Amino acid sequence: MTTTKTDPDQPREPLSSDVPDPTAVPDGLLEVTSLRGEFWRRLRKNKLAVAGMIILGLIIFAAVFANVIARQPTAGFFPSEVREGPSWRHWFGTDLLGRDIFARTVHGARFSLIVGASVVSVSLLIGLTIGGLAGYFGGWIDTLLSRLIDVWLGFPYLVGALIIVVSLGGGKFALVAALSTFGWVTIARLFRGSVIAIRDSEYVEAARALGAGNGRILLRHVLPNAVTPTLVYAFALVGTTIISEAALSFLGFGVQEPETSWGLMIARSQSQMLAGHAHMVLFPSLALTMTVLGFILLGDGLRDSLDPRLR
Amino acid sequence: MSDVRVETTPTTPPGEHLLEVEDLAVSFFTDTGVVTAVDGVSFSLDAGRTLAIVGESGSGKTVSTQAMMGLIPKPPGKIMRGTAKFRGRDLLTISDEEMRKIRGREIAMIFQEPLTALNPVHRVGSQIVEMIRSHEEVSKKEARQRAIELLKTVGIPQPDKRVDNYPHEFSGGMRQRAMIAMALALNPAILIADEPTTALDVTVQAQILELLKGLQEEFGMGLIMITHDLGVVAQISDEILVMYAGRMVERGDPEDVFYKPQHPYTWGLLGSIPRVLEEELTDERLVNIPGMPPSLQRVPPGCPFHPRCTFRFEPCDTERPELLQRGHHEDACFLEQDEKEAGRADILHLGTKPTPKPKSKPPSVARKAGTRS
Amino acid sequence: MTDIATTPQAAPSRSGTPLVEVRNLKKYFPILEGIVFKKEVGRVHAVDDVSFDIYEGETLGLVGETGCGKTTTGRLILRLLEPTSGTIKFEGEDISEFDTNALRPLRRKMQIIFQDPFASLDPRMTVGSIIGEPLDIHRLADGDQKLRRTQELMEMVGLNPDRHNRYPHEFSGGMRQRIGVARALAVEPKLIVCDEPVSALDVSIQAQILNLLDDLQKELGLTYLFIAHDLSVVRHVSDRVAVMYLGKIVEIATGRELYTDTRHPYSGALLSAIPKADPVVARSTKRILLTGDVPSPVNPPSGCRFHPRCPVANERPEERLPVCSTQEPPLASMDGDHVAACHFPLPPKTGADLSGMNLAGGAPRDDEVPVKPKTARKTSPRKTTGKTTARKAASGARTASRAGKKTAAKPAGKTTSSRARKSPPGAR
Repeated sequence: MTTTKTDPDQPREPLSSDVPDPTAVPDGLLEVTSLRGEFWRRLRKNKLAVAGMIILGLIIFAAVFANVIARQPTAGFFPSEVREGPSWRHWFGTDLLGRDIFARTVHGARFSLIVGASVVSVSLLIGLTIGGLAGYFGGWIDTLLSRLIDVWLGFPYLVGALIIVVSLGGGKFALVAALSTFGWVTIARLFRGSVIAIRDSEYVEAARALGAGNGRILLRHVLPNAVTPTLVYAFALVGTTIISEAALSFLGFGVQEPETSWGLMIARSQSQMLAGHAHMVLFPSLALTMTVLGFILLGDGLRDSLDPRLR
Repeated sequence: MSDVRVETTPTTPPGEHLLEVEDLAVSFFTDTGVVTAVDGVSFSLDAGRTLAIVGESGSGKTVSTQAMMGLIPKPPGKIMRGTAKFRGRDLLTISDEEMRKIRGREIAMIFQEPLTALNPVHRVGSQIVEMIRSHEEVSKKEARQRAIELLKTVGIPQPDKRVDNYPHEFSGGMRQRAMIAMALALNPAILIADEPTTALDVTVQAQILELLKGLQEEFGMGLIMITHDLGVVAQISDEILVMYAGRMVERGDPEDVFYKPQHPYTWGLLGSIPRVLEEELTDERLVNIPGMPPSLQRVPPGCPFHPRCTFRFEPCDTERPELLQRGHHEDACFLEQDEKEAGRADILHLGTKPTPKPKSKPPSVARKAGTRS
Repeated sequence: MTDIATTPQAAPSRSGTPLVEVRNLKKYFPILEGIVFKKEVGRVHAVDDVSFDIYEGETLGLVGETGCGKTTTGRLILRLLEPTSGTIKFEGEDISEFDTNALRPLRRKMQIIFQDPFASLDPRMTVGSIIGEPLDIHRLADGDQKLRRTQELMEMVGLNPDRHNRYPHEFSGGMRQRIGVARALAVEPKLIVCDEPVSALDVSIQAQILNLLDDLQKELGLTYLFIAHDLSVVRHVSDRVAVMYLGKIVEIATGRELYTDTRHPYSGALLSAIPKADPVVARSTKRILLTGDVPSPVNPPSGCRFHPRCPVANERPEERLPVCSTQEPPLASMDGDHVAACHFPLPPKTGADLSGMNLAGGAPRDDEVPVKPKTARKTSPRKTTGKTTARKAASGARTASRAGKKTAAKPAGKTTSSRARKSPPGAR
């Protein structure tokens, strides 16, 4: 007849959902979906972000399966097939040396993504460290590092990168090094700001009260919580890095033949545009644009769906 | 206070309450579901009287009055049903324009955080002046005079100097007084105070409550006090409405509600308060209402309190209890009167009637071993 | 009247050394101004010469309004802040000057529960990791053992142990507070500083948590320093209560004594101001209404800090004010361990309704001073957290009282902790 669900005599009875009552109040658990679920839901609703995801999905797919998709050789000289327009055999046509542009474009995706990812990884490593130390410890460390960042920011990005590439003698590693040298700065700035906001949080104080040292606090409490805006930026940074690489290669200071860089492809083919072989410029340009667009769209979408204020 | 009142306001039709809210229901349609914030609330208010709406978070007490004042964002909020008649006119159906005329002028609101009403970048005086002049045709000079008078009425010392201060130059209590001054500027018929003293130190709280009571008497306003603090309620209310999960749970005079509460939730609420009065100082544990308030997206069927109620029995999870009238004292609970008295006696040790056998097993409050001084 | 501000408090009813001994504790936060070179233009006297003991197994309540320094005191005892001067002894050992390394083993013996159940838990850690973190830090358990211990703790505080993989935001306020309690218990401390542990919770949930704390104390033999602004809550949980005002302790008494034998006018006013949840009593009680707001701890009044608002002093101003405004009253014994700092304490056995007293407050004092906001920066070294304490304290105070005005400068910043807002420690 009657059921008493809980007995007030038991002060410590777990307020759990073991009671078969279907309308039982959940044991303190809220209706909220997980943070991750919430995040995906909002992301999916953002049309532009979805578009970005699709584009990037394609690009990444191409990069990963480049060898499967594009069987044609990307290097070599094929005099008989020089400057052909798009056809069934060469979907994007061929370039000055008769190489299949489709294959080169697809492999270019792989190249760009690798460069982008490498640069951003190194930049993150440097930027998070410097920004983190500056933000967390404050005082003279912060002053010193912040001035360092300010000075560094003063350097013109491309010109600086260019100089470094040249002095390092060119090639892939030089490229990555050069772009990383300038990529870490904004990351450091951003992260420093987040860290400053977080370092005074009560849960950080709680960790200190528990006896945690600075290292533990930094790595387990500050970093995971402060890193989000920086990660979003890093995402977009991949896109801009790809463009920068293309620019450098276009100018002749990046990689050299026979590397498949979109920038390089555009550079070599631009003279051909007016000669009626626009396809040689068109496809790598399109690929470049789409890739960067994808990163930007997705980056914006990420930022919007992670922003708690837009709830 | 200089009382140049432009007489365009309608008076209450005879026989009607100043404010009458009937079966008000408000829901919010969000991405994650429908939030039933208020589900059938009715109350009335007359001039010079104080109604206290009591509840914890999520009880719907704030949303009710906000809905009445047209302050609910219409998507995602929606007024599902009900009327809110102020001087005979239903506030829920009038136009935005007309609502704006009423807001501030005939019905004023004050909040927990004064800075929601006081713009930090403008001087306090000019905000009051602006408010007066937006509703009435008076000169700046005259409005300023009134502002100074108001500040004086609410007990701010040196009002002629303070009128030119910015809000941040006031302390918390003073800011609250300034907000009250602004609310009173146009001599409203009703003042709605939403947790006005929660953020204040207790000594300041006492001052503000005295002030409100005094002003109410002086101006003959109706006062709706929204709070979770039963002490505040005991002090100033003429009528109390207890809300839970968007519904009314008990309603009555202070004597009824405090000394003869009828609803198990009210018992729990009263029992949870640590007492400071000596006679009550035993080693009782505080009454523990098990569980948590429900999510307003999934209000339990039947009585919303039933999952946490130690007295629940058959109808509680299927039928929805409405406020049952017992004279002026009403409650929404299916228990019989004698069961209620027994339950109340057990939980709160109030009342002296012998306990007849109740339907459900009465809880006993565990006694703490040892003494607390 | 014996001056016990400098002598150890006599404790005839207790044996042995107190668990915590605080003597002449002071904490000042500098207020700095200037763009490039900061110079100190004032100080927030958050805690100003405070002495008391905490005995093992008891609950000492620390109560007061904004700016009284109770939260700062709690932080100082835990050495989350460094004292400006004075001594803190824990288990007989002077810990006032310990550095981080020396403090680490102490962290096992004293812990803290925070006010804000939302801010005090790392939102990115699972409940299990939050509770297990102290076990990691002090290497108390690992692997399976750690999980078991974590679940044990969860059960102890009334949480379902299967939920250890959930995140804090999935729990309601009361439950999150329980997580905080479990975390504090993980190291098996002797002393727990409860910093407004229920202020941010709904009344019915408050009751649950207070009952829980009570049970745990009995079961584990804990000692509590219970900090709150709500005197009824403090009264309910504490064995003894210390009332603070503007950085000073004004009265220490058992709960019963504080109510039935109130000696300090401020305690009386505080008790009288509490709205009683009883209509008849609430409306018939004559209330002592203090005038004005709590002054700023930046420039406290001279002599007895309470004198500008004190109904007793202002009742006979010619006779009393000269004393009260110039001499600081020592914390003196009223009756055994019951101490109060007042030149004209209330007569014995004055109930808190003070109805027997004619204590009409003086005319509203005209001492509101227009203020200029000042910025404040902490300067305490990294190893102890000054952090928002100073910044918020000073910005909360935001007052530089004009030189020459001796009476209380009214603060212009926010004054109090609300239920859901964390209040700056220094500004209490």
